[in-house]
Amino acid sequence: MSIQEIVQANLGHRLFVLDPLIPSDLSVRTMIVSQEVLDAVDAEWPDNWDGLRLSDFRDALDSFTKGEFIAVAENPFRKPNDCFMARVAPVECEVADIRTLVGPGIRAFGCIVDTDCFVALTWDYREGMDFDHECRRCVHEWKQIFGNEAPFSRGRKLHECLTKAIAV
Amino acid sequence: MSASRKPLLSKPTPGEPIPVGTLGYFRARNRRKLHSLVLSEFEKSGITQAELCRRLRKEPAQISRLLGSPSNISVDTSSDLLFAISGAEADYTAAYPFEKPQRKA
Repeated sequence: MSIQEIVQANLGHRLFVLDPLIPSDLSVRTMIVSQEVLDAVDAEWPDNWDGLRLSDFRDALDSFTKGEFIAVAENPFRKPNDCFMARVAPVECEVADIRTLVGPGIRAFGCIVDTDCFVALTWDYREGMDFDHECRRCVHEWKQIFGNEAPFSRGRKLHECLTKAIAV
Repeated sequence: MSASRKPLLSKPTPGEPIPVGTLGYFRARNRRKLHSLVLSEFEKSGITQAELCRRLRKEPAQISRLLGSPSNISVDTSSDLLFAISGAEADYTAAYPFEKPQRKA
């Protein structure tokens, strides 16, 4: 099975299409999320600082779906602090993170599965983050669903997999 | 199969405080839209980051940071970038997202 076929086979139980929260916003790209990510962004947000961070997280994912122009970084060690998406070291894992704005931020880890299609598998708050651990965790989640299939981004630059993306 | 079944966002309710998360969502949305506008103009213009450096008298790392990060997009910064890129300015109107037709499923 191709990774696109694996996505389709898992929709509704391990993977979920995340539509923009505002019903009039159009979907231009596709954001697919795991149950872990869904629980963070599709539940009532607390009325406190964490609520600000989680709603920012949801807007980041919705911005991707709506087709907003995004900045993407290829080099994990040389990138603007909160560009929208960046490869995570080691780059051979083909994991990229989506990065939020509020406070220290949140990082969602996942992989590109097709042109303009990202699967967000894991997430955590940025403070005290062990990126090696998070990358391994994401790779583990990827393998649980996709086995040995390589992400779509293998052999490509991130901005070549995404329309309306600027390489920074 | 879509995941979002219940609305997490809604218009202000008279007499009720607006949830913190709702305000947070719209703040982030506003910043990302402004940043997207700048990036869109930049791509459309065809100019290089080096040329943008020259026009704004900034170092390459500064321009990369401004283009790369929505959190660096202040009102003043976006004004500088839009004008430097293409002689443009942001054009403001109020929009009412909850009153627009819903997207088709």
